[in-house]
Amino acid sequence: MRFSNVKLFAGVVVLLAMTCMPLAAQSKSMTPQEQKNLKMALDWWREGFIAGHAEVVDKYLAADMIQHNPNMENGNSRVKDLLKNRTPITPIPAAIPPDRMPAMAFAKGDYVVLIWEREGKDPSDPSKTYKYNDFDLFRVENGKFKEHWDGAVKNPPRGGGKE
Amino acid sequence: MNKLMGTLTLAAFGSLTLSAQRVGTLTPQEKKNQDTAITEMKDILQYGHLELADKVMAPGYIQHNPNVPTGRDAFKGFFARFAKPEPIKDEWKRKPALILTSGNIVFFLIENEGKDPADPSKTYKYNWFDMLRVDDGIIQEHWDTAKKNSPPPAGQKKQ
Repeated sequence: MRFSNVKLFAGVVVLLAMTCMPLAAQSKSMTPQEQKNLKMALDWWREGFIAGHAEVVDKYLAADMIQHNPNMENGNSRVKDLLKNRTPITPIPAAIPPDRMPAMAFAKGDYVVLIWEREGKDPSDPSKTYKYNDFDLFRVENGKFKEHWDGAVKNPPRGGGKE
Repeated sequence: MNKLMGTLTLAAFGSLTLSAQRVGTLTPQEKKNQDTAITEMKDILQYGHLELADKVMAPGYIQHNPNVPTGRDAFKGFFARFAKPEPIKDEWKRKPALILTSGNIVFFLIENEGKDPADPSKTYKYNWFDMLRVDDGIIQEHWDTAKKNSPPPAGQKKQ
């Protein structure tokens, strides 16, 4: 590697570290592989869900992904269909907008955890809102997300409003 | 060298089998934080030993579950209604599907069973999380998936 490439590489690493820092208070206790796994989850969130690009699904989600959300079937095709119904944002934003950042994010071993803070209508007083939390959990296998969990319940009679 | 490698492999394998649902290599501090978190999740909440709250929870314990008041004393007051103290065992009454500890954060994945709203004769599985922040050896903060006044998931923090 030539010197200029080394400098460029170092710069990219510092930039990555800086981007990750505010949202991943845990990053200092993560291994380089765990950092990579966390970055993959945030890239998927940004390119897939925020920018709505269905064509990135195969890059991140295994075709035979095990899905623990009771309203989704296994595999990644349903996610593709959901994203195809949206108008993609082009170009894909380079960073996650601050209001769509997870409240906390970390990776351990093959797992990545994203914690979300959401706002719902207070069921006892609809003029008021309150905050609650939700999560996404991924397991990485062969460089893709092979398994996914979240807090969804079946045909939810949800108390609070979900975005 | 080979002997050392063998010992390391054995150690890694041993810790994997002993704690199948706990993931990754833990530093000694992470192991301590995890044990402290398990005291709350298992000994206090499952075996009903609220008196242990004074040992492992900060007075200013921050509660993000919107149905439970914040603070250690408020926590004890809230769960006093449900707690039936029993001798504490090593095994969980309801074992988390997964425990992930990273630095001062301990995350528990809990598998629940609910009635299928489309067909109450059927059940289905869904998931829940509990997450604790442990600093200075004491639990400082708690998050979970609870929504306000939503019916509590089966068997989770309700009796």
